[in-house]
Amino acid sequence: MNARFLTLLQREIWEHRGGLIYTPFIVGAVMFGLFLLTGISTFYWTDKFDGSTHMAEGALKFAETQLDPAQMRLIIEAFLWGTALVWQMVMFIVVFFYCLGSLYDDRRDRSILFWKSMPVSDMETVLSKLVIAVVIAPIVMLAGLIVGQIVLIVSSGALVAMHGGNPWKLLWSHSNPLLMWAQFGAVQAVQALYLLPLFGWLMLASAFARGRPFLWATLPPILLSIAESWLRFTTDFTFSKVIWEFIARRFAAGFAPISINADFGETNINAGLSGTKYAANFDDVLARVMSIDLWVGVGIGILFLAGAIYLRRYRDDATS
Amino acid sequence: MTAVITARQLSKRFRQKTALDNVNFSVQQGRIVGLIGPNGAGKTTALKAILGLTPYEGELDVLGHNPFRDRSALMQDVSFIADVAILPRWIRVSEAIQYVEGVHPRFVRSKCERFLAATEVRPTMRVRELSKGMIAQLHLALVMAIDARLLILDEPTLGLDILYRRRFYEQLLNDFFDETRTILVTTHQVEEIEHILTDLLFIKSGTIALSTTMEDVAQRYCQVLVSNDRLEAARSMRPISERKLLGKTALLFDGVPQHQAREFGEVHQVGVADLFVAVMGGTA
Repeated sequence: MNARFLTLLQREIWEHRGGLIYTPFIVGAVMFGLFLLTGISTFYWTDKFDGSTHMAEGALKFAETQLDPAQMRLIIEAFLWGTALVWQMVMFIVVFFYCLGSLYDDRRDRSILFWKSMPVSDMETVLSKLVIAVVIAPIVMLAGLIVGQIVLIVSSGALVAMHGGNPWKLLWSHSNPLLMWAQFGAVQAVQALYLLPLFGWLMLASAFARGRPFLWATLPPILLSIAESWLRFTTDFTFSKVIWEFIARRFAAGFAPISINADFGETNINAGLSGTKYAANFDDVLARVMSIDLWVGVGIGILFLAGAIYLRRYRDDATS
Repeated sequence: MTAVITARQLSKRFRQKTALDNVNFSVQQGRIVGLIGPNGAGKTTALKAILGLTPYEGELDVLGHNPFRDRSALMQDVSFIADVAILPRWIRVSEAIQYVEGVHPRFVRSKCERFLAATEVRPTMRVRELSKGMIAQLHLALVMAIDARLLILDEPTLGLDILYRRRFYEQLLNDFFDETRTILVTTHQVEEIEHILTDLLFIKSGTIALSTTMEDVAQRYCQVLVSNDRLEAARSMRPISERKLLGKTALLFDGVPQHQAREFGEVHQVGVADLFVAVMGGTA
């Protein structure tokens, strides 16, 4: 990657500093705030008003003495992955709208004439925006996640210690956040490929729209279904069903790329003991890499991006 | 002389209308060319074609490039300022400088900073906080710090007050222009720049109505203030336009020698605006 391309990435970050850089850290701050609220309410207010002074300590004692280490690990991993998905969901929405505006906003405010007066090709421009969506945004998200989870891990340990629990024995010894972060990073790499057709489509709509890129991005699949119902005089949407399922899988993965065994009931903990190694289910992600669905999607995504580059070059509606 | 821009049979057709209709013209190095025409005549379309922003029919050569095919390469040698509204409003002055420095191999940061030091523009300001005049100063500083061979200005001083307008062109002449560079400019305030122009290109409904140099204009055209008693005689010389002026009639002649014109009255240099009105006829 040369210095020119880094400048293009820098440009995107300047424009979207709030969404791309601050958001993951704001998510961490909000979760820390929620943690403090629940921590205070369970340990402080119950003590004060219920008179059940030793409830919290009792719970800690129970966890320390009665729970199996494997069960503890499952709970803590579910906590780490569960909070990670909050970051994932928020950043998916941020990147969704980033892509939708990426090739539209500068046409609307006519600053495209400034960008196009620079020796930067339209392909470089489009690729720089794609790299932001699939590489830079996930990296920053991971950074925000790591900082946020360190704060959560340390402060929950402190809370446990304040009430006479042993944070090492109860929390810290059971899981390896380093491993979890590495796994989350690997998931992001799969996401980059899996969501390529979605982001490519959004950028295509962004390059195409003369107004309302959101409608241009969302209406075609809807119209396709309507057209199919007319053409075939049927409510059996065979063709559009394939497309809708393709889209739905992307959204599902965009919000939650990995499923979590969040049920701490007896059976699941037993399953955790006997079979499931981790709270997070990696089989989904691995299956995705090996699937035709992913690679067909990558091909479609490249076509959409080529279309976006073409439109960026040929559309000259910035000025009238 | 070397041609910086050569257009042959240049056309641009939209669905509804023809913006450029088989236009031929060339622009030579070291000239300051005014591209002048009424609204909708095709000025902006011509500039966009030259800048590689729009596809076209016909042949167009800008500094040896096919502009639409090689836009990004061409932009190393060509700079462009449209009216002040095109700098992104969210960007900081320091970021704009860093961006141009990062993508443009011929940008000299120290030059840009020197130009800006003479203004009220500060590096930490965002474009949206600047006045129109300051935005124009920033854009001009960015562009003048680029060692470009061709500068294209599309209504660069639109909406600026007279002080900023005058300073804009003065700076351009003093700190940027020399015989190796070429400037192509469109503006409605033609009186303000006619003293810096060396060439004129009048464009009228997608065709070139006049392509000439300022020296030629001075030789070829003259304006005579004729009193009413001599009007009929003067009209026999077939003026290309006439208008009432202070009880007399100002007649504009094409190709009538000065000594002959002097017989009818006081002879004046022709202003670009008068010439424009005369050549454009009823359309302006």
